[in-house]
Amino acid sequence: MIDPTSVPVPSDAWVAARRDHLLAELRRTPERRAHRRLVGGMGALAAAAAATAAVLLIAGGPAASTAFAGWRAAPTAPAPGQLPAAEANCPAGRPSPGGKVGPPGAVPSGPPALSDVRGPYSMLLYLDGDGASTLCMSGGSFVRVLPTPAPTAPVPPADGLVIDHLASGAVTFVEGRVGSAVTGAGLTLDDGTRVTVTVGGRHFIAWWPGSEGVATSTETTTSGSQSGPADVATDATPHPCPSGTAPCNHVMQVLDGSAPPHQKGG
Amino acid sequence: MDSRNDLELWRLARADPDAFGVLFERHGRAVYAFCARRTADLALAEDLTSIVFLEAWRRRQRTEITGESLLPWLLGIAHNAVRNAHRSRRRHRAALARLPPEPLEAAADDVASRIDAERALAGALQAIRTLPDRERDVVVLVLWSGLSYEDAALVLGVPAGTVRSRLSRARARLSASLVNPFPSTPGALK
Repeated sequence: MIDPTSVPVPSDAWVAARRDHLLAELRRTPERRAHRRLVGGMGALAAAAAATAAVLLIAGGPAASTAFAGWRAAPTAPAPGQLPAAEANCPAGRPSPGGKVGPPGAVPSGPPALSDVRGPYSMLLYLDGDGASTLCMSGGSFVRVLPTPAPTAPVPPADGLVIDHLASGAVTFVEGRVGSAVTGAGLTLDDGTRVTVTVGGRHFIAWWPGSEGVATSTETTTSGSQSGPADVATDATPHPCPSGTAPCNHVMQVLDGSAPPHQKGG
Repeated sequence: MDSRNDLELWRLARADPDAFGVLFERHGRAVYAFCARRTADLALAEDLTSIVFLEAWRRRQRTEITGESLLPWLLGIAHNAVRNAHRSRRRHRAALARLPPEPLEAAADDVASRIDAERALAGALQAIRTLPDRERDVVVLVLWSGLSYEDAALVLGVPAGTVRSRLSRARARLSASLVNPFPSTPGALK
């Protein structure tokens, strides 16, 4: 008969050594955000996040959470006309699939693959044929177009999720893929906030005010839910791209001419 | 032996790593045994044990424990860590790389027994591999790790009745098996 009890019992010395190692790790960097890593090509997206926040925040004014007072942790139903308006705001111009011509800041032609609505804000995901994608976020008087490169992380397992792109600043954007069996997903941020992401076509998108990192993800399938450490693609590092520098600004387009207060003032 | 209960220690652990260390001393072996039974890989189980407690520490400020023991919650973390062993290890690779090496003599003496243990564990896992994941989970938690139905329910996030019915189905599926993966005394395997 198979004996499932045959796990060697760790010795007291083993427990003590492991405990000491654990405590050393805890004291090493007690409150670090050890698990958040930005991914390849995220310099531009990070800059976009920072720049979007810079645009949306009143210079020297309230915190992001105040500036995005209409934001919701879970997607909301679009108001009548909200999505058509959002689509109309996103400047189509690049032929799809895989087109790279057209004005900077344009999205691929065709309908968006995903629409994430949180209160008055709409974020649309457009997919290129070559695996790259473009996020177009709008709300009120602004539109921002955020190109992202093709993901390089492996396809997630059927019940899994991988964050391919994460850019944090005063606003954090995430984009990624889910496994074939995943019907819904959520992210728990480092501060405990639970954000429900928008899932569709094996992709997901979400955003939130602030720079909280992602701690865990929860994936829901027809057979239940599972939670675990968030799988953030780690195969590349972001390009340093301080907000406001010229090489980073080109991904940002003020498309509706409504410059933010601090830009208006120079 | 520390006389403080898990709830007291957990509250203290929010600001006191030493209290957290006591919780490791108290539950580290059970977490390790759970991971070993789920993976049949003792080295991986050791890594996962560390990962479980690192994750628990990270969540300490926002986790309220109900019940008397922290163990079901820790096994819930372990349950997810095992399912996502690859990414769990990747996430904590820096901390795992700093684990102290085992003394060479002890490791040499241990090799044969570890191989035997892993072989036995792999055989046990093989015996239940035909079960759906959800039924396999309750076998490991209730029969192999000795959790109550209620605690196993807490780990899996399902009602206790669901644990009971899954276990019943697991028994039925394996009733014709030539290999009996079940101990004679459920709950005796801690």
